[in-house]
Amino acid sequence: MTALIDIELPGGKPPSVPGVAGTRRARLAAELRAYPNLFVGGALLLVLCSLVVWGQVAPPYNPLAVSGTNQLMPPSAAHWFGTDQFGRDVFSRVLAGVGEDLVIGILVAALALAVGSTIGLFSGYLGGRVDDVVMRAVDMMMSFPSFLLALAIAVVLGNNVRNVVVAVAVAYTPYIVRLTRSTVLSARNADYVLGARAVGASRSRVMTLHVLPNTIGPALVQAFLMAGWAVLDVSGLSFLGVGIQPPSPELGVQIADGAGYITTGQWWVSVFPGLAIVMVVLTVNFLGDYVGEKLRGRG
Amino acid sequence: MRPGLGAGPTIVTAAPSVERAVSAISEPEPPLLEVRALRRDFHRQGSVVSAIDGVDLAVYAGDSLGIIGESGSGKSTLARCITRLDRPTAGTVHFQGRDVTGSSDRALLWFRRQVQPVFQDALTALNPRWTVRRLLFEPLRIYHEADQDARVAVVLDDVGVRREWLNRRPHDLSGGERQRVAIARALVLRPSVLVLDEPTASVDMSMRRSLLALLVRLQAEHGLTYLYISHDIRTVKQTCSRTVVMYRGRLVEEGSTRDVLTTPAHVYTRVLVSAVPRPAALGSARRSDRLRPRTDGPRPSSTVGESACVFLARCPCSLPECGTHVPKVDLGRGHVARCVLAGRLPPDGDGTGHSAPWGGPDNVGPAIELVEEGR
Repeated sequence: MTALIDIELPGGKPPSVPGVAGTRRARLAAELRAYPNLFVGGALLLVLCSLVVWGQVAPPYNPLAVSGTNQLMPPSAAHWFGTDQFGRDVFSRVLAGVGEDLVIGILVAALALAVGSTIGLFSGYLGGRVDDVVMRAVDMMMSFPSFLLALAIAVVLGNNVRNVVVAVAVAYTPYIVRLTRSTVLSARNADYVLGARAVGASRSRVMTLHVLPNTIGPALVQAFLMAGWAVLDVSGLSFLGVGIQPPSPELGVQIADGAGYITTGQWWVSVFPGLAIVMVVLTVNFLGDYVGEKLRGRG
Repeated sequence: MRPGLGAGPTIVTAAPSVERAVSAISEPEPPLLEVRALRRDFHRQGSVVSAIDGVDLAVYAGDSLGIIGESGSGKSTLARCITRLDRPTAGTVHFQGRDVTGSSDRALLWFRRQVQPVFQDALTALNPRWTVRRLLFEPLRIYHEADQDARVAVVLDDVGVRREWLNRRPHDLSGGERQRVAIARALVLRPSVLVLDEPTASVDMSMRRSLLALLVRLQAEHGLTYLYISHDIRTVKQTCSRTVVMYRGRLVEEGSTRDVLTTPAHVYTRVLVSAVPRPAALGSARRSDRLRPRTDGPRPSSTVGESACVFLARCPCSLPECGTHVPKVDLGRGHVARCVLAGRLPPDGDGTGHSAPWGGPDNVGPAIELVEEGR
């Protein structure tokens, strides 16, 4: 009879069994088996990182070294990806470019996440007039396509790596603000927040230790995806000439360099950097999907 | 001996209430917690809904006050207003004679230390990303208490929280274990008042009974004052000395638990009490004999005048004057009901089918939740 009126809570994870978890290596193996996204993303990241290290430590050629005799050579044993119109080794430039774009993507995402989640947290938790002002500003920024906004900011700030990173991050920030604010709104009257206030936690303590850790998840996933977009957008800006300037080996710059030669048959100048961009974006997308799965699993 | 206690085998009579009874003869003691004309309005799509509508309460040190009523009667809102996690629209909350109604969170630190809530579902009430250890230490860290390890150790033993739970997170514990952790967290500051909002509603039956026994023991050992909110009349009967009945944000009846539950004076209380299913062996009444609320009447609405009875729309025995006037009938010993029929309903054979539903020796049977009406 009692079984009929028992209340069993949904969403509770079964208690973890001690002893099964085992060593760190065993746990990592189990995690990799459970999440293919982590496996693929992690493997790609390892490949990328070793390429970057290779490019930094011992590239086959200097990525900036111009040669008067080896211009537009097709791929060969000496130049795996061929050479561009200035005789620079495309493979060495791709190695350097992957590193540069990976760093740019991570910086943009980190900057947008840090600024956006802070603003979103304040906006959602404090509410009232602060929220109104922030939300109108966000609406205004989001009424421009983010690439055009980044383009406009980059033009105003001027061409260098730092300014391009800032421009793209600013363009992405409103999305993070929106996302964080909405999750904060739903969490601010959660029982655990009331419970924290009830034991005397200050507003800043409640916000940073209770609300933020429980609401940052979706924004974190979004930030991973944004790292991928950032690589595309920065390359796009560079391609248009308002991003990173030649002779930098940035991948977008390389594609722009080679764009004119595709029709005349020298495809390797832009196709290899293009494939590298695809690989970088795929890597962060896989890892972002893994983080998303992880958070959804937690409920 | 307090009414309502001493019924179950696990019940211990709390010493503080005896002291109060003695001191009350010489001079009346001021209430520890006092709520006056409390009101909390919510704005929903242009209309105003009063979740609490003019509630007066006085809770004395060492007392345990039960607050019963169906879901949506404003019990939880009342709990949040009393613990000052919500700001009342009007009215005051006094604690130890000091007004805490308008104070900011920072100015309430002394009050928060004394008055702790325990929520219905510990899964949502405990930060899911924190370990039990961190959750239990947090209150002490906030108040910069000395001897934190020792204090936590004492509470662990007191509440029955095992040390191996300390490194787990709330979702790795069972419902009963979690609720123990929540109670431990509430007690670690050594408060004087616990506001328990259906603390046993989210756990299974055997765990419910042991949690109740735990709460009763803790009250006796620490001289705690309880506000015990529940729609489970049986657990209120087992833990509370006084009981108030809420309906749609208002108090409709109050008095000692025995008076309110065995001789309910308000028609709503009768409906509530008679709606509790009982083991068939005990009941002489068939289900069809029970007093039931009207469900064919108009939906309760706020267009009814302020002076009308809140239960009018669903009252099975309403009179014409119920729409215009609600008397406050004092039945003696602090038993008050806001109902025209208070004291006029026959004590027996009144349609409830049983005059003293819990009076029998079989007081330890399964507690069974009310079936909620009209929701």
